[in-house]
Amino acid sequence: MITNQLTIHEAHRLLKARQLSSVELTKACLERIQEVEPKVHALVTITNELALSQAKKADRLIAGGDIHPLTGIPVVIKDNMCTKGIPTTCSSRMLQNFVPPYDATVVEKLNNCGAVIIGKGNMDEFAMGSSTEHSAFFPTHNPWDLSRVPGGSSGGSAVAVAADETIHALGSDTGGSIRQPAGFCSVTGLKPTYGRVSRYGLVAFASSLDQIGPLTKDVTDCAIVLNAIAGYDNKDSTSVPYPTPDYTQCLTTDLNGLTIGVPKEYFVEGMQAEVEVAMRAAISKLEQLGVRVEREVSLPHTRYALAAYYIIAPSEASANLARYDGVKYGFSYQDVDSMWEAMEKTRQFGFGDEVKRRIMLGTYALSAGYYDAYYLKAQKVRTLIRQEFDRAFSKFDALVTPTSPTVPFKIGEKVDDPLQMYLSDVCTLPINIAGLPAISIPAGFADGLPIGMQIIGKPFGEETILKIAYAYEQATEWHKRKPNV
Amino acid sequence: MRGGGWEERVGLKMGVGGKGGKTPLLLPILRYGWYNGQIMKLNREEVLRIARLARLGLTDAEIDRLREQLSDILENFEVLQKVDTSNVPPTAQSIPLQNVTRGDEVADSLPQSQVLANAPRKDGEYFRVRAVLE
Repeated sequence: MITNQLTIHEAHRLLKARQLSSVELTKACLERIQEVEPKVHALVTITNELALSQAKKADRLIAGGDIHPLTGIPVVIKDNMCTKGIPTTCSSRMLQNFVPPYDATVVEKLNNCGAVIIGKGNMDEFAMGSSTEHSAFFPTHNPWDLSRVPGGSSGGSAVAVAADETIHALGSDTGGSIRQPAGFCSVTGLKPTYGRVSRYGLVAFASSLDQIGPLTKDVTDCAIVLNAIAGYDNKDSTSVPYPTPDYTQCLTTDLNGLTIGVPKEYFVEGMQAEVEVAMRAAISKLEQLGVRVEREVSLPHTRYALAAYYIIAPSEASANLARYDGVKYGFSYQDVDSMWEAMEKTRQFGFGDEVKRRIMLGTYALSAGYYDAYYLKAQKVRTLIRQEFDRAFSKFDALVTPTSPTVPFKIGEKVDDPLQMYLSDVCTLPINIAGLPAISIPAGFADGLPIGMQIIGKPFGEETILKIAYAYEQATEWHKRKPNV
Repeated sequence: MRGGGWEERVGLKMGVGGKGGKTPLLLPILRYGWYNGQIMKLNREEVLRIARLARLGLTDAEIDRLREQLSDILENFEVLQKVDTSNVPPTAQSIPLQNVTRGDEVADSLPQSQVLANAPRKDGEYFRVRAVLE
């Protein structure tokens, strides 16, 4: 048994049986971090001391018989979620020295479970990107092939899980930022329904699209983490006051009676052949497991989703990022007397290329004379995309697509070509536009590079997609493969 | 939308030149956005105007690069103009919550020292700012 390779539920069983202590588990992860971090660069901050003190505390809780499924379990938090007293940088020069005075609600919830925070995950700056190359500090490398990207923006979180530096991680997903790196790293990643998990303390990128979710080694773990983080929070007015089910209860392998649709627009001309082959095989496997599959579903507005997304998300971002003015916190340019000049220089030197590009794009789309043609138009197209999903879900329990049209690409390949980079989210971003839940699970490899399958659910239909994902996972071995790093 | 004066209204001017140097692409779906090989370009003044609205300082090299890249992106996004959205209401967010309010109850807030802890410049109990009025 290699301790740091354990899943949450495996580690929990050992912790509960006192065959393993949280300190041992945490040390195993920290040692693994020492070993592989120089190759993968997944973490912006490693919280050694905090982790060991939290692990000792967890061991005391467990000794007292007080154990939650996440007690004593190491976790990596994406560096856009506030952690009290621990730097939260968003992988940006703007927040390089920012130390939050409070915890994000999800962090508070994990801490209340007795979790062990071992580090903060690298990301594309302010979560804007699909490769983690837009981190202001360093790119993260894919453990399956160090010359390739891990996806993004939650690339650090996904790699930390894939390389067994941690037992699980939290990511955030605005257009695919949990699912696409999960697919690229062969781990399990869930974006819950918009409103399912509190966004309080998540540094805002695009407020109507952002959602926090788990990155884990299997589907069971995903359900366990969702149990811990889901639910209404009066600090987030967009979190919904619906009851939260026990998501582990839906994990059965009986899929009889379920119908899934396969929207043809997600199998676009130009997608990588190996991805298509793997997806067709995975869908046949689901059929063998008892699912009824409808293969010729059409969601014709899918082709407009990318443009709508890359107007809506940058527009919201340009408003959200207006707060970085060098006055209240964050980087502040000092060597000028004029207020406006100080603000402009603060933002010039504090933000990286992709963030500037999106601020410019969003500001343009919202500015007088362009608002109707771009922003309002995109919001109307958003309505059509939602309605199309609604109609599909009157017939299907879930939709199945590839997570990304390609396997992980080379570092440097797309970083100077924004449109090419945006396209790697083409299968994931329509789901954020509609606010739906979706999970990416390992579904194959092409020349040793991971392929992810995306299962999309109805609003608040996390149980159905977890169940389908679980049944597929139990019938396959993809999730057990480990990168040789 | 495509008719006379539209380019001026949205601040774009038409240029020529095939698909342009950077046009893609991995997937053909964006081709719906191409106008018969014509490329629209933002002009430099327009880029500066947007940067000023965003209070974003830019170098000359950044202005040139953003001019190219934003033109390329916006041109591809013209695909949206093909969608009939007459009588379609806009969606601002995806959940059926409206007018969320909370009770007007007194609760603890962060201590002032913590709120000011990250301030680049402070003066006693205050954030220190530059003169707003000249």
